[in-house]
Amino acid sequence: MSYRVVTGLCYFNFNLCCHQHCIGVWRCSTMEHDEERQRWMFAEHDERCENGENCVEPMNAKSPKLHRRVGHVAVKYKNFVVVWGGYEDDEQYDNNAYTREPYYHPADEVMLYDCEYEVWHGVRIHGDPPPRLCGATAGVIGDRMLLFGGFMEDRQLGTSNVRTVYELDLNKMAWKQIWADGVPPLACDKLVSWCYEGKFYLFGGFGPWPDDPGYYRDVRLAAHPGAMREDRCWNDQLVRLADGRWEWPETRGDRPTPRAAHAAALVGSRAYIFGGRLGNRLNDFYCLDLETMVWTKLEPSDPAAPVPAARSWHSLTALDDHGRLLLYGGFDALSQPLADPWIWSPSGQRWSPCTWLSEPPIRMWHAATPGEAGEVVLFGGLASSVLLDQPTYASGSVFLRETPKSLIRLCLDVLDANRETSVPLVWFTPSPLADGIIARLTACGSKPVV
Amino acid sequence: MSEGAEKMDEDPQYGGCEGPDATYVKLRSSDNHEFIVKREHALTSGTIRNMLSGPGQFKENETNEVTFKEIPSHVLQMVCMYFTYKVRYTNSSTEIPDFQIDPKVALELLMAANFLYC
Repeated sequence: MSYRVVTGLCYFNFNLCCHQHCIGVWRCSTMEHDEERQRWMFAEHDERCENGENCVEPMNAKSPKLHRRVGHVAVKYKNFVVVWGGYEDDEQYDNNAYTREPYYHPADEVMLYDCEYEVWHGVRIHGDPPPRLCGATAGVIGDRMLLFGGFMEDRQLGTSNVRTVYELDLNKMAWKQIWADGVPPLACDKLVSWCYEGKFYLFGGFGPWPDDPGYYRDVRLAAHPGAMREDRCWNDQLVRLADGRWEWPETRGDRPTPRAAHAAALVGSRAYIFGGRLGNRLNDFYCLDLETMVWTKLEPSDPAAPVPAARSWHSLTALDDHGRLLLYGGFDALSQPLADPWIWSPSGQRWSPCTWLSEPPIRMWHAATPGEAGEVVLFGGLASSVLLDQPTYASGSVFLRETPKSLIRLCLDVLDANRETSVPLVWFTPSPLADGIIARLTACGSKPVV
Repeated sequence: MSEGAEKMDEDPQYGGCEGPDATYVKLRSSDNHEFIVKREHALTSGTIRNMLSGPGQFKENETNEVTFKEIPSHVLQMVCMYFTYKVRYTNSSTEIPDFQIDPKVALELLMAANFLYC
């Protein structure tokens, strides 16, 4: 069957089925049936539309652009995950030699993952973008994503840490820089953040020794002992951005040491921090109660119970509202990449190895967010040690589930796997359900699996 | 005979479909097949949950029977199988196996799943 359907400027309405997660309406390009390649696609756009509308393109789930990144940020927004930034190695052949240079992903685009329909979109963003960065941290407050810190390597602008804050309006898809009063945080990367009650909290990080140490008397700094790195240090700063002002709240209790490449997760009014690196890699576990600002060091109730090995560049994700956490992967004390997931159970006060995947893949410096209910998704990162000459990048997302997918998603998987027979039938399906199916079927390539 | 052997001779006792605390509910397809499933399993569907626990809007919550005028039996049967799969593997500590769906049924099943919110 060969036919061409042009739906014109179709309003791609994400308010589908009976789900209320509407991210707004994006104007997309025309949807066409490509007779030659026998697949549905959005007409390709290389630059922004003339009237300045955002460009949205469905991404092939296996596209390297999605998965070949480390040091990126991934945050959950409604039923989407927003992935931005990070870098990968770009191999170039020049003058009879191969050189590897880091290629930083563009700052004016995000990858948007729809958790329910399992569809990726690349979205171009307006406004004033941040520099291309790795090791930044991001969090969502309302309809805005805040981004702080990170490290940039730019031929013209140089190599440095930044201490700027940028805000991405997720409705309008526009960046802008935020200027805040008060003492700003130390420029650093590989820090963690969380958002609580409209405030954006930052903790820890690795960056240059401050020029203005007088402002940071309460922050503990630990110098990196390497020969070329005397001017860089780990810090234990705890700072929050509230109403356009930086605040340095006082805390009590068992304050964690300075560290970077640690991981944090927020459950209710408590922030949990695990491990990271301060010279050596750590596996200590802390909780900060954001109401009382008291740090507590958490030890398993049974001293003989197994605990995850010391690590950095791992991820920590909240599983539910009760305080269960999922820890994944990272890089251990012997500089080996890890593939072990662990679950913290607050009722049992213990870590247990997670058995949801029979063969969990290696991941380090990846990003993890909750997906649909009962699901955690890992994006990007490395599937080998970072110290190799040619590290292996992730080839796909990793899904950890303790609950089966919804029947809607299972059916979409089957329709996706049988495209030739599915596509014509879509026209007999009532909209807006048809929109969801079309979204899935037009995304070239099959579902993201490792 | 010992007590244990006597017990084994009795018929297994199942709950019924009657009353508000019934263990089972009846789901009727458009072609009048009745599927009797555990109430707990049927509550996987948000729509059925509303119908069975809503404030008297639906008479279903009195009779524990729901009729789906638009869902044929070959689809409703898959829905019931999904309920069992979902309940069995929720909070599973092992890797969740695949749920087999015949591609010929997939689209109708998707429409039913969309309606049932499951």
